[in-house]
Amino acid sequence: MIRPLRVRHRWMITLLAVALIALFIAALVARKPAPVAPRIPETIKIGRAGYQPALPILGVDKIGRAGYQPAPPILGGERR
Amino acid sequence: MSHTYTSIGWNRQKRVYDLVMVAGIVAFLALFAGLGSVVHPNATIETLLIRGFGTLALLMLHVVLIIGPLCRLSPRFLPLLYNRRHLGVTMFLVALGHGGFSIFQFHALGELNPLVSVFVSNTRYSSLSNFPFQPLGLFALIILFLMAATSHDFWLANLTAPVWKRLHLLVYVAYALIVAHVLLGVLQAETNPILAALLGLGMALVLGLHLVAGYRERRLDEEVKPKTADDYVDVCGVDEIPEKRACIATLAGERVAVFKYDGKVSAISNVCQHQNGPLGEGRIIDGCVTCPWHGYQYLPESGASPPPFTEKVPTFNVRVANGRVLVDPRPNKPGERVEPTSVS
Repeated sequence: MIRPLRVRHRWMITLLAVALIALFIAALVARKPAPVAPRIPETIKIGRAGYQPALPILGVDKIGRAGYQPAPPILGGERR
Repeated sequence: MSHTYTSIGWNRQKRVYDLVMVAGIVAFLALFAGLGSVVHPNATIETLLIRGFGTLALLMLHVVLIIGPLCRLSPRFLPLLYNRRHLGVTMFLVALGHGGFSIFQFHALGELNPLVSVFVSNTRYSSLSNFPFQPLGLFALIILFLMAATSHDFWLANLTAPVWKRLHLLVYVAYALIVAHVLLGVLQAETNPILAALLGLGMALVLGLHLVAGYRERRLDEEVKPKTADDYVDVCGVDEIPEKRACIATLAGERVAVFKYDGKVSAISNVCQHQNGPLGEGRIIDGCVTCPWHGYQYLPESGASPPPFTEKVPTFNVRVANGRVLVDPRPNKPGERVEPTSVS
């Protein structure tokens, strides 16, 4: 290969290396987290008569008030 | 070397190479679609083919790109170079399969022209995670098409080797576009770390090998050789050149290959007229300097291809003194005969 082309080739590779490594990192950082599986209520998941799911932990209600105590869950299960 | 036009100079080696390549492509796609339908039972065959063609094209592009630096680093890889263009053109066809299926699947069912749809269906250019990655792939496909369309020696001869090589250096732009297409496309949706790791490994291989080979070439270019009073350059010792092989030196910014054969030495340009391959890394076969890339041949004393071929490279005046080879850095005209110098 003739010399000016060799020199251009080397510059091109160097620039390409820097640009691609930067893009690789940026693209992986910008990636959205993997979607988590939707939370399915225990009563629906198990569905056996007489099953008592664990009481929910004290949380924050829909409008952000702490100490919210949701209503105790109803005994789940299939209707007979 | 072609004195008459033939579309492809087929030989047994090329036929076997192409058959193996086509069999490999079919096997890869069948395996990809088979495994894909097991892992993703809801995926349609179109989706599996789009992904299969895309993955294969990316893999083939990496192979095409690492052949060059591997050959610079070790002559053992030179046989891979001989049919690299077949691999490159086939890679374009595989990439075309990916692009064609994708455009048909995602853009052909609306009212817009599918090619227009590629550019206007997503315009979130300010977002990295939602970047419109499809136009990147399309631009890469256009570059690969230009390269595949001009890959034949007909174009090489008409455009001349330097122009042809400049055009084909666009493969690095295509590579950058394709890596961006993958990073901003499928890797934004598929968060399996193995996929990102595989792409990173491929990039490291391509870029690392190119950088190492480039560093070695640069050292050769910058080497300063001692000069005599009449401006001849002391290139090497006669004993340092193996029989029917060459010593390469950079003189006045260009590389010269000094060949030793039958008790004589001759110097010609190191640059083959075909694809600018390194003649000095070849050897003398049947009395001719033979390019290691594609077998183009030149007579060492004149730099001209044997009849009926017409390629010519510049020659250089040489003399031998005290066991050292001295070369005049001013080139003679391409094809100008210089009497070989006896080494005894």
